[in-house]
Amino acid sequence: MRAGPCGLRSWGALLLVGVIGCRVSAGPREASYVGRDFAFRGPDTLPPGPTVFRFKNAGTLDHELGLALLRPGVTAAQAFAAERDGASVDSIYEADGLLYTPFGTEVDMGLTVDLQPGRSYVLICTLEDGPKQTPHVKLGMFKGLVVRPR
Amino acid sequence: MKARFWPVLAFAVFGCDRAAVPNDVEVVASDYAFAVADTLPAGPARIHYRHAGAVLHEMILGRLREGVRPAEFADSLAHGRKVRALLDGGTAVLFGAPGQSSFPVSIGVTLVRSRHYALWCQFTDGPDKARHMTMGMFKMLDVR
Repeated sequence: MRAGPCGLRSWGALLLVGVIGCRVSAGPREASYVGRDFAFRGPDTLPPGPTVFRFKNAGTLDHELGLALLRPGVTAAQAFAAERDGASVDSIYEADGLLYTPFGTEVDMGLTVDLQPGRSYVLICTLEDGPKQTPHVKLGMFKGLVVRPR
Repeated sequence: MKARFWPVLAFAVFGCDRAAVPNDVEVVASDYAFAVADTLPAGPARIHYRHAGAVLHEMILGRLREGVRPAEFADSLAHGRKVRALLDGGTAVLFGAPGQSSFPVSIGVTLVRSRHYALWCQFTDGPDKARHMTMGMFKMLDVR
């Protein structure tokens, strides 16, 4: 009944399958960002691959985390300039999504993105606090995010 | 010997949290409707958005507060009233433009059993035009 060396190896192999299998099915990594009045706090760089973006509003106003993939060759500075000047961003962003979190609430949803190696993204809040108020992006709620090469 | 293998094999096969594997759900936006199942299973889901329309759309996803009736929420949206108080926290939004068949961004959410989720588009096709949600781009999802 004792397991010989061959048996132990088999057990080990099965355990390895289990552990690796679990890691594979553990899903994408998470990247958490915090929005304040008026800045985003969170990583500036991330590794490539599937990632879920989470957002917590720690400010005293409504905020959103907009996540946009920059078209190749477009810099975060150019994107910021377009947002600041109210210009069209059709030629700036390739894809985007956002998480909206009113003050005092939480959002238990995330944005799932397969981060592309070497590409740049931006985080942005375009909300304003009322008519003719300055959009939060102009107050500092803009952040560049670079995805590391593989 | 074989009997000892079974617990290990069982761990290897079932030890992982099977519920952690999200259910992929595709929502197709056309002019002017969302095509998606009316009922979704509870648990982790990835909501993918595909744009099949000729005009710009968005897909807002929000969970209704407990006790809020879908008809009450729909009525508030249709009449342009604020719906923040009717929602359980924030919302997630994906955008789609004509010619873009799919987006590499999806919404990750754990769908809560017996709750209602709403999808809607607030865009208009121009000044003084109706909002898309009043033209049909409103959909209620029930989680079983």
